[in-house]
Amino acid sequence: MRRVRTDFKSRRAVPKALWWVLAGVVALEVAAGTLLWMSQRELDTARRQLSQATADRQAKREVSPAPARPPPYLQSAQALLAEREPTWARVLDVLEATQVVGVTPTAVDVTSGDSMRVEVSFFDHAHLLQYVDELNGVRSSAVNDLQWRLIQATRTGDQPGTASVSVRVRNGLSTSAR
Amino acid sequence: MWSVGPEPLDLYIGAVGAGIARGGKCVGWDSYDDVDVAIKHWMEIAANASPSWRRPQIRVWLGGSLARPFVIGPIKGLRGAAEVDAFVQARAVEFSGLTSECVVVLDGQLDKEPVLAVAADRAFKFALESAADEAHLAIATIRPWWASAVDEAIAIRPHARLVIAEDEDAITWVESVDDRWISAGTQVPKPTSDQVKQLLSRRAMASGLTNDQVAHLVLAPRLESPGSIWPRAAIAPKLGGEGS
Repeated sequence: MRRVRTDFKSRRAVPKALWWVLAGVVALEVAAGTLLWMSQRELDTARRQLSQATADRQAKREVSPAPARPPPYLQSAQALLAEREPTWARVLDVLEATQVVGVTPTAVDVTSGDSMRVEVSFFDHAHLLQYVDELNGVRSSAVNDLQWRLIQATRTGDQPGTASVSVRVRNGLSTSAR
Repeated sequence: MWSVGPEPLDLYIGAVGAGIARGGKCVGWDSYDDVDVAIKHWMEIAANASPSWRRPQIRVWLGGSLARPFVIGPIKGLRGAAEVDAFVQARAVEFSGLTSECVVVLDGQLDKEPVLAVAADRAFKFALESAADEAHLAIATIRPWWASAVDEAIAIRPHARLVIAEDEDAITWVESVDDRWISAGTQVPKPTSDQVKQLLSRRAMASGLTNDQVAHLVLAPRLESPGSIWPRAAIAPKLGGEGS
């Protein structure tokens, strides 16, 4: 025989209003949860972007070299480079390429960084001036920045005279000749 | 065992008498003529007997004349709880003998097997619950007293098929085979002791029952354990030359 579980106690039904209240609370919970989830998602996205930006910035810092400070030997190095600048070689090229009868270069003096002086011997002033013109006329595209000037010319009697011609470079490094 | 609150009171209410018990011991018993007056009276006693910081709980046990069982079904084709309720209430008058509007509780599924139904007067149940509310008592359960007799019978007769529960105003019987209800009913007014024995013998013989398949329990408020509201095994008539 089975046990008898009969019970007459009224199981009070939950009022409908309570169900509506419960449904409202659940709906509010769902809405709040959704908002929270969306906010959390946006926050996560922002955090990811911030982390990415920070990582990128850090990587860029690691990759990009620090701004170079001018080394203390810069001036010396520039002077050395100036010495190695082939300006005087171009001057010699011009001297070698210019030939006028009666005018002969006898000495080349590199006195400073901005000019060179060339000593020449000559028999008459006409040839000397022609020589200077030839020097200035022999201007190739590579050496067109040289300007030759006659500084001094001396001749006595029938003896060959001596003259000084200086040359100056326009772009800063000048050469003079005497 | 540790418990949060006091143990609920047990209130037995029959047609002619009522008693109240706590922890298995009866603390009051009386007879009366008007059941409605008695309900209010005993509810007040229960409320006064349960001083508590919270609403005291009470378990109500209904006498056999107030909660009448019958077996019904299986019935197929009923759709929904409302149709089942309307059907069993219509049949309750016929099966239980109650003439007023009833409230019927089923102990099973009507469309699958025979179900033990229990009918009670709706107005009486309403009066019971109203009295409890007025006395600020919380009703935990409202069960037939003979259901506790069935529990007791299962304890003392594990193979019982027929249980007869006898209280002050009625006798109630339930019969089953292999957990399948066969019959149930209440006889009001309560027959004499000899008539009860004859009824028991007839039903036992008709069903071919032996002694260990029959249990006879009585409400014994005035026997050797005065005041008890709980069923006690009674001497059953000899069946087939064996005693129980």
